[in-house]
Amino acid sequence: MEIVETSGQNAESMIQPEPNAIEFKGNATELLGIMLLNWVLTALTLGLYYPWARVAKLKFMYQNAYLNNTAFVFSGTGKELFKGFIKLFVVLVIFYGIIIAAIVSGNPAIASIVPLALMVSLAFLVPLAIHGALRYRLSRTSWRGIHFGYRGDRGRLMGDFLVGYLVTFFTFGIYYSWFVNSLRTYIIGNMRFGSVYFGYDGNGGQLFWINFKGIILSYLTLGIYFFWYRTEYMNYFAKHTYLEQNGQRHYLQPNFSGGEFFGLMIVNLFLTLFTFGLGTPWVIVRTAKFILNNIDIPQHINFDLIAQTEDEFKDATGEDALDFLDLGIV
Amino acid sequence: MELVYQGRYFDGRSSKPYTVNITWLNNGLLIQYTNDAGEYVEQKWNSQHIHHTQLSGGIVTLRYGEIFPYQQLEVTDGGFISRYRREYNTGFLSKISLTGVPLLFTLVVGVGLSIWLAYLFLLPVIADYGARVFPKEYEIEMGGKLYESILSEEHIDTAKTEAINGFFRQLAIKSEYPVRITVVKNDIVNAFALPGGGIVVYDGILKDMKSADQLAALLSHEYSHVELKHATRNMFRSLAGYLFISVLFSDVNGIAAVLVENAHQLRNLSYSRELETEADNNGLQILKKNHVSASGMKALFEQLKKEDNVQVNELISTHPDLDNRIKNVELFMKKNPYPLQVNDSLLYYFDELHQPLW
Repeated sequence: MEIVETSGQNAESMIQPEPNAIEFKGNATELLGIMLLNWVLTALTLGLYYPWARVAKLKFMYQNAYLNNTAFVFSGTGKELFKGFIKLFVVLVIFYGIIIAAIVSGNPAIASIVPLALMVSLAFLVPLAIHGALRYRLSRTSWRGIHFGYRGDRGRLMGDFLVGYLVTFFTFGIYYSWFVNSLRTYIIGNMRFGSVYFGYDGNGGQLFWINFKGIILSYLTLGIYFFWYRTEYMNYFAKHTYLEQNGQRHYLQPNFSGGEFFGLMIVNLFLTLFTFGLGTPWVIVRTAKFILNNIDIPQHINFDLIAQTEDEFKDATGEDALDFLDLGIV
Repeated sequence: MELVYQGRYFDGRSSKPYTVNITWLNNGLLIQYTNDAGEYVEQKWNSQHIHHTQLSGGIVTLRYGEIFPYQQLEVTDGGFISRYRREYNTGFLSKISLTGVPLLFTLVVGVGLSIWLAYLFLLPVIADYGARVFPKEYEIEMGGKLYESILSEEHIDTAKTEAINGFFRQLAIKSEYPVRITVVKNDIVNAFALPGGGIVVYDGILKDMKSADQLAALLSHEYSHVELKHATRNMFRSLAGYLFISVLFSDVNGIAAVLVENAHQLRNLSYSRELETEADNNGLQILKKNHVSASGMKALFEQLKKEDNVQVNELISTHPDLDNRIKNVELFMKKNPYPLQVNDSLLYYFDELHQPLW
């Protein structure tokens, strides 16, 4: 893989005081405190506290992620998420209301076709949710007061998503690697960190062989190889993700190792299994540390020279929808 | 003499950090620094526009202004942070710091216990209330749909169905529900009631029945489930339990949720035991009203006990502890002596049920 080294050392990078570093410093005990409070308040309010609970957890994750010793800031509010939550709730109530009405109607034709049609239409909701969530989440993410942003086009993402989805379906999944690769290229290519651009230049064919080899070997080794497969996958993804400053591309340098990932997942499994959920904060913190501490940020990018470029975006419906559909975006 | 604190300032236009001097004013903060061009700059932050963003890892982050983009200030000085906390309202929840281990432990135990108690005692009360106010028409309609879908996969014994409905009509029961009983050809020794009046009896249970009293006991027990809305209550309890658990663990992934869900299933079983006893007692009252001997119920349980040894079926799990239930019937008989009457019509229909029709 070609890693473009920036050769043009200029005066700006000379004043850089310390090496670029990203790190997660969260403390699981503190997170347990936050989550306990979240559980109690969510239970007491019969779920209405949920948006605020989510904000509390997100804030914890952000304020413990440090880039060059400055923490990220999540400036979304429970109120914004609550509005999105209500909108989504209304949509879902109508949605399930129609399905239940169709089933109860007693007409076998209606009872079978309407729910099916609605379930299919749910596939349209996925790209909408991804788009909305990216716009909201990134606009609420900042570092040193510089906001992130997403400039993708909703119609374009929906078109790409549905076409890719259909092609994947009709090629029995073979196209999946190309599908994921093109979605990533589009989504990451539209992410901004102030005047710094994000980009991804992975290749569907290469991703296909990683998946192909990974799945075959995972079967042959009764699943053991799976951890090394996922590691290769994560490394590939991160290695082809870059930050672009003043026309220069700076690639991320991941060093995830299969052994470490295996250890992480096994311990996480036990932490979840034997604590009835109370071990979850440790699982979250361990995972975040594993991810951030194994990615090296390119040294030749100057994080002191990022200009503010993005607008604010306040509609949180997509963020809520993505959470409901259980599609985590890293 | 005012104290001067040091901090890092970002102007909201670029990520360039400025080391600044911060002074407290009566109505805000004064920020002073030298910019890139070597010029001295003074920023006055008015307290009503200062927003506390976060306090973590010994750094307090403040934002200023109401219009995007915002200026930002980071201060690590402990003296500044404690003064900031004193003078500015940092919000109710951020004041609770949960880092002490004993406090956290107490909280875990306290919270766990109160959630458990709520689940154990509060939830059934709420669910039962829901079932009580649930409109009867919906209950009947929903039960009817369920009834049809269950029966569509069974062989119905039409003659016995007619006879058993005749038998039931002879019992002095004034019901608000349209009671429909169906006999299904199946060797399983079982009978169950659905919401809204549907009762299904497998003919396996009828074969070994010795007397009309036993059948009267069975039907009055199953009818009691209908009258007392047990199926609906059970459904509401399951539903409420499921909701409660999923809300509680909304952010726990797969495995824990499955574990907890199974635990809930177990609890559901003991709900049923409590409801079974309720149905037994109500059934005994029906027998008393009909002057039918309560020994019919005792005989029914003894029959079930015998069948238990032969085949394992659903009845065992939902009708546990038959010995205790027999004792319960004996106690009832001792406390409630009443005159018995022979009901010829009951005997007639009971005989119909036992005649081979082919």
